Amino acid sequence: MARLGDLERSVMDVLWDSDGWLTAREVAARLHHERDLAYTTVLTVLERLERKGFVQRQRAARAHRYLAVDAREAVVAEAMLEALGTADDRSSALVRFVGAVTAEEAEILRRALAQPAETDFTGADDPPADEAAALLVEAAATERVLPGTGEVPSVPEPSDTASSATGFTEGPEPN
Amino acid sequence: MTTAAALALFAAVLAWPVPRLLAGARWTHGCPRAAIVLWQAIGLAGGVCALLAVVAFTVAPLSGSTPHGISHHLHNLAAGRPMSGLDWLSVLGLAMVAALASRLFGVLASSTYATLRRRSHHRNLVDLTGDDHTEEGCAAATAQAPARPGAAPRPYRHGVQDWAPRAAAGRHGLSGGTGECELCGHAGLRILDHPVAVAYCVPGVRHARVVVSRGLLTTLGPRELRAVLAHEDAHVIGRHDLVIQPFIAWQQTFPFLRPAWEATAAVSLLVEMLADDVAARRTSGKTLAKALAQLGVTRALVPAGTLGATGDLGTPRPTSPGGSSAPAGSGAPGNASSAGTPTAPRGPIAGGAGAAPQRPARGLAASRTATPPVAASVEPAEADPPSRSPVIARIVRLLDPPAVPWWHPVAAYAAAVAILTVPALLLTL
Repeated sequence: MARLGDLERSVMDVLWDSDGWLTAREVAARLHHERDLAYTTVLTVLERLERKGFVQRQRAARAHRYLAVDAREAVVAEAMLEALGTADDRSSALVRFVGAVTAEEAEILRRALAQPAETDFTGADDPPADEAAALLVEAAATERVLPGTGEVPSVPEPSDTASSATGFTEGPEPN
Repeated sequence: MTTAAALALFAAVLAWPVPRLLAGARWTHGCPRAAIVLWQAIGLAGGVCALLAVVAFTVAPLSGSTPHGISHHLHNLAAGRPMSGLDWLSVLGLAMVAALASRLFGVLASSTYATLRRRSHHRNLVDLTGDDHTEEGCAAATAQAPARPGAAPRPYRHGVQDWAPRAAAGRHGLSGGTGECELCGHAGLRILDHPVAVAYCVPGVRHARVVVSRGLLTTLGPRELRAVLAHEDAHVIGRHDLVIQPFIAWQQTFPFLRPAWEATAAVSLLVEMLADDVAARRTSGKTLAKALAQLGVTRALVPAGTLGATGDLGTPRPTSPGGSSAPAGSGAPGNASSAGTPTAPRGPIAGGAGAAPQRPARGLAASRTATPPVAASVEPAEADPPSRSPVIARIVRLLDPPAVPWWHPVAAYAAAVAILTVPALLLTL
């Protein structure tokens, strides 16, 4: 399976690097694969790619000619659009590291990140992260970004935060 | 009839007030695993109770006890006289059972199918365009690296300048001078050649992929990168997608029920926290928190609505009043070349190259916020802002791990067991 995936990539690379339509034979000639590939193998891969919607086919005089449907950059962009969750996204197709972030949240994060001094750049254990934490908690409490703001002390003693944050509290009504 | 009413009441409680309470609770952040189990128990018991309530209603004329009524009805079914002893009201109940069950399972099946198809399509996208990171390629690139002029003073190998897709998938070894490459040894890792920082995983049984973008490699330091990868690996290994999937289906089954939406959001957050915990154990919570903050900042520069709607991210717009104060320092010489990245995409997000997060030059630690020199708009996304801020909640939690009393997870597990046994108890009423 991985073998076939590599082949698909190589074939797509050939199509992306070419300017116009290519026959399967031309694709096979341009493939710099470790081993010589049978023409039929290339044809199979092209058919697979066509089924997946990445390649379009045109009937030429005696053979079929192939062209990539979208430029490589457009395919990357499509992947990125899905990854950023901008497409109509109601499913859990992808599990994202960071979801949508609002402007206020970003501002809080930016201020927290601006805290670390130069030492942090090479430091082993991020001592300024405590300051960042303090700032985060404070900012969240004052700017009412975090739910249950009453529970988060504005003076961010870590132990206080921890104890109060574990209370069974109901968050505020979401808009 | 009492049984049916009790079951219906319990189902209603599980469908509305309980999820609302639990979605608002913050103690769940202390023990995400137990909280997820509790959520699953609520969802399962709610569905089972709703179905059983209608079943009990249907068979009520047959017997005073619901289990007897069910067995009686099954007996009648087997004997070929399904309607014996039932009145028209029961037939109505039977129709409701059929409708409810087919809706529940139909939506679950169709949403799972849609998810699998989208996942497979996305996997094709990243397999065809993303670079994989082979150890041989990494070693080869690292071996050549010292010969490259201008490479030595850079703290990280994966700068924008020395990024040459395809030719060198493994240029980002030698991180922080330790000689260790964070990307090596990650099967299924794909590197997308795009300047916007993003990290995510495409779950799957054997074909799981962890995808990072070039923007991520240039935004994060090696330790942060390791933490992010550990987080994504936790998702893949823990099959967290299976946890979320039923809640997505619940939400799609009852799109008009707000608790269903809140449940999905809460469970998604808990799953992220679960992965955060794993990554924090394997690396460091503070490092992961920093990575989260850095990515959160860059994500806000990519407003969800505008990216898809206008397809034009690069147009410089005036900075919003309280918005980004782009540090002048980040336009340092070290970044100048990134504007001319030869591989800038031409696709819908092509303009993103200008607003891409960039690694500040070394020594400009004050401008570590990855704020681009081009003041990108930080207007809120068009979509409804989340009622809580998941990213900040996760960061605060990582920086100040909450003290979890031992009885919190125990109580959550006990509650889950209790919720699951209630339907059985109610049946015997």
